[in-house]
Amino acid sequence: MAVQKVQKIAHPSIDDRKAKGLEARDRASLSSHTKWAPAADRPDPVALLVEQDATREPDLVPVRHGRMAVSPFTFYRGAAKIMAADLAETPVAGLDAQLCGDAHLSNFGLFASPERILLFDLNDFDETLPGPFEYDVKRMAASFAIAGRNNGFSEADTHAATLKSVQSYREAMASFAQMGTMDIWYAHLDENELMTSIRATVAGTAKQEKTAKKQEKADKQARATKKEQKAAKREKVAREDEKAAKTAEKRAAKTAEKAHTRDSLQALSKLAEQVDGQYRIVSQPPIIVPARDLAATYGLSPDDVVPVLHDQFRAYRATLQDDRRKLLERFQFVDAARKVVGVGSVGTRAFIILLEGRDAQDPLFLQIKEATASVLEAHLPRSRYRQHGERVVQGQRMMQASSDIYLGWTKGLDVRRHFYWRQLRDMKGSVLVDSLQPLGLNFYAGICGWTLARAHARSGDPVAMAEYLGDSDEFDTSITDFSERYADQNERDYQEFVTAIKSGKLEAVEGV
Amino acid sequence: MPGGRDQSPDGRAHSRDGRPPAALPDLPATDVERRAGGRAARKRAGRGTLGDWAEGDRGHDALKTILAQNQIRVPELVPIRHQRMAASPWNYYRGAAAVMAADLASQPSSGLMVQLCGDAHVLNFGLWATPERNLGFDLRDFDETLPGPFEWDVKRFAASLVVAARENRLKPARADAAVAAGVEAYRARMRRYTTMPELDIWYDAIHADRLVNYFEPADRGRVSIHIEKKRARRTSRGAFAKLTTMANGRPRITPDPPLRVTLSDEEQADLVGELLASYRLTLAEDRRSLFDRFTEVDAVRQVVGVGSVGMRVYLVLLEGRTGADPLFLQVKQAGPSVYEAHIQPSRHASHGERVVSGKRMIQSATDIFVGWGPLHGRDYYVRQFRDMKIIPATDLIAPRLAEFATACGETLARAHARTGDPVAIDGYMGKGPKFTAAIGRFAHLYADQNDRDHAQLVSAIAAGAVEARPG
Repeated sequence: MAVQKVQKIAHPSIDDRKAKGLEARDRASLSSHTKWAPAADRPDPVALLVEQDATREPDLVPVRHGRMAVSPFTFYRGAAKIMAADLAETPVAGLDAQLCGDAHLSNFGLFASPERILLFDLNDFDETLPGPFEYDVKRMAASFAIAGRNNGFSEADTHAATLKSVQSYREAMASFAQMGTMDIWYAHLDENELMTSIRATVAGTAKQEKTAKKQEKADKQARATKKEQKAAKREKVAREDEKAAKTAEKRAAKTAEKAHTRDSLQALSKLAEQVDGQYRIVSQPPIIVPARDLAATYGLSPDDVVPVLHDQFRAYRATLQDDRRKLLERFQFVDAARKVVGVGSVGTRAFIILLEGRDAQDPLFLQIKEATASVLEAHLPRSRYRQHGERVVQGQRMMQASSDIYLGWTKGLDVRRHFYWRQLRDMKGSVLVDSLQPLGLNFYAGICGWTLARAHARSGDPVAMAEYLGDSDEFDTSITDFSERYADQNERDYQEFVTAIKSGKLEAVEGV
Repeated sequence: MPGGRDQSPDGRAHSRDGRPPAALPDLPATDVERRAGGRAARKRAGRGTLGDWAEGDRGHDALKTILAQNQIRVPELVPIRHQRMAASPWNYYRGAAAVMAADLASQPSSGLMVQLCGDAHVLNFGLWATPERNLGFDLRDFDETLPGPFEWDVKRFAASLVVAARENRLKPARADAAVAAGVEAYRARMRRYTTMPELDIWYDAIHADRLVNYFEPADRGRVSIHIEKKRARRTSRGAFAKLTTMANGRPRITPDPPLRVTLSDEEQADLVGELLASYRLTLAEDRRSLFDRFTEVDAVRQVVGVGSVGMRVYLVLLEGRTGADPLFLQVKQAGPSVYEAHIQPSRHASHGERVVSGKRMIQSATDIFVGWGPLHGRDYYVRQFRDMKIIPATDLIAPRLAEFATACGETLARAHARTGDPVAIDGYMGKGPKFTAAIGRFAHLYADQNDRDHAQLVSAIAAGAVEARPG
């Protein structure tokens, strides 16, 4: 009888876990997270970006620069590598979790779960790696500070949203610390819960208006002119708030509705054309370049491209669970193309493939994205996965409440390049950050904070983390202080970047 | 071998031999070709012949088939199995999947292959909590799963309705109505799948609230209350309260021999060290990390079901957080599917893997903790115990058998459409009442056969030829 060696897994008691959280304060006190000042030997931010460009598609590097140059916020989205280097210099409590690695606010969104429910969750895991939980919290919080400024909010409104994201993270972690292991695992935020929560917020604002009106009545009775004016003003503010809340509710409903329509059939109408009764992907260079036009770029004859794609497809299928592999076998290969996506990752290899199920009206688009080393790997222990595509997929499954059934990974034709696969448009929806009002951003900060805490609680120790974070708002204000300073740093880096483009040091194509 | 070599498990015309293809799948046949394939299957087995039952052709003795299954079972539990099966024709039917497998294989078959549940009798449909915590209605026992001709599941399902109706003393007309409703629901649902996109079929599911709608408005309240009550109770926490006692400050599963027998420390060590250690590796990485958050606390051997009595079943209590965070896993021995002797051996090296893979193929959503592992040379699969699982109560469904059969028929069609070819199956069944009428005829004839087989077991026990013991 072959008895396998049992892997010993520690199961500390609740008290031990709490103690671990408290001990962590000796390593990094809650107030130690405040402040940010660049070190004298801080690496040149522009140089870090140029370093990343080295392995990217040369014709797309200017597109990346162009997209990042739009605003300090788009720059921040593309600058995960810069921030990773900066975070490595900040104090950490030594409490690890699976990190998203790039938890800025636009990397949260809606997507369809395997049981066809619209879920709100993190949805980008290119940089995922186990590491100190603060890194994700800081990258998330700073993104709110930068987005608030970007939207032209007052300092107070921006501050409130940033603080809200951290406070929500801390409070959610405290509640996960009380929950059973399976309950944490199953916790999720779906469309219904989201809308209920939005409505409750809106109702809360309406209630404030009522109170203001009541106050006004009382004031009228007092017949004090000054008071009357004040009350009228209060009422006006409350009315505006209610209006804003209603708009926010409508907008959220619209986002969810739109997400429902974003499927492969819709993608087919947008991305494909019929030629001789067969669908093929429309060429829109440099954003979409079909396989038939790409052969030259990769040194393959057009005849070689299809077998290569089939090989890749086969290798990918082998990484799927048995039943899903069976399902995928019902689809046949139709066409493939290179397709540019995102901001920071522009220029890494990214492809889409079009598959067909029962007939041409039953399309399925898969997206294939190159995965390189996580930007965090330069500062933390290397990933235990040799395959970066697998690193991304496993990290995603660890963090999300429920994941795409089609996640898989392959090595490229050049075996040093790794890829992960997923569905292209499975009811994915995201919030248009620049159209958010202060109330909307504040609400959004609340759900992002909760979601990040849930993602961390699955792999990290919620009891230790909650104990570390404590009951006071010290952690919240510390991180908010850091975030505001880091938003300043981001603006300086952005200016440097724009200057480099203007001086011709960096090439950029805008509006693509 | 029914089906012929040109049929793959997914019912398509090109051979895949049940194994992952070495090459990309061929172009799927057009709808016209798929439909024609289904019609051609009528030559192998005319729809009318599905209604026939020839006892003379069965080629085996029911009692011997039952006894042959005892070889891999725990000897001291075998008499309990006999006793339970002898209790009534219905209990016999539940335990006699092997008998029926041999019987089905002795008759002509369509050869339109699907992943069979293999034991789709009416009480093997039920509710349980999905990974996203919805309450889903689905098939729930996959011990016999294997690729095979679709009508075998339909026949086992239909005959179970007649046997169950007789057990509950329903009038024969009520049984007829239930069979007709169940098979018609299967046929209508399958027809709908012929025009649905592949992913829509895959994601299709029946939630608890939809199940309630199958019942008459007057009954809906009663059904809902039943579901809610059970749902709250049938959880790991509920099981913890019911099944455990504290001993020396540690929770232990309360023994109740011979139904629950505590394992010795050495047996527990093997269970953890060999079986659960391998099982852990069959989990996806994220679930493995979740599993690692639990510690094994206690394990007992259990006796469950009717037909599977004697197969080794263990109940393992694990604990996440001190005190109130229990998780029960059930570890069940898996032998070869009863159909393997008649079709082809499973492509899986472990029978535990066969069950898990089949379950995932058939159910619209599957328990996150399913996995498999070996112990002392035997195969096992693992699943959550009582994860809000609700098994229908016979007294609740008997008065509404036709309604319940409708829900089951649709569910079975969904299960088959995931792996089989709905267009071919629909083409085979056709538009008219022929298929439904034939299955209805078979269901009655086979219920009669089941009565005779049950009587054979009862008299063998009375004569002392077969040992039986209550338990």
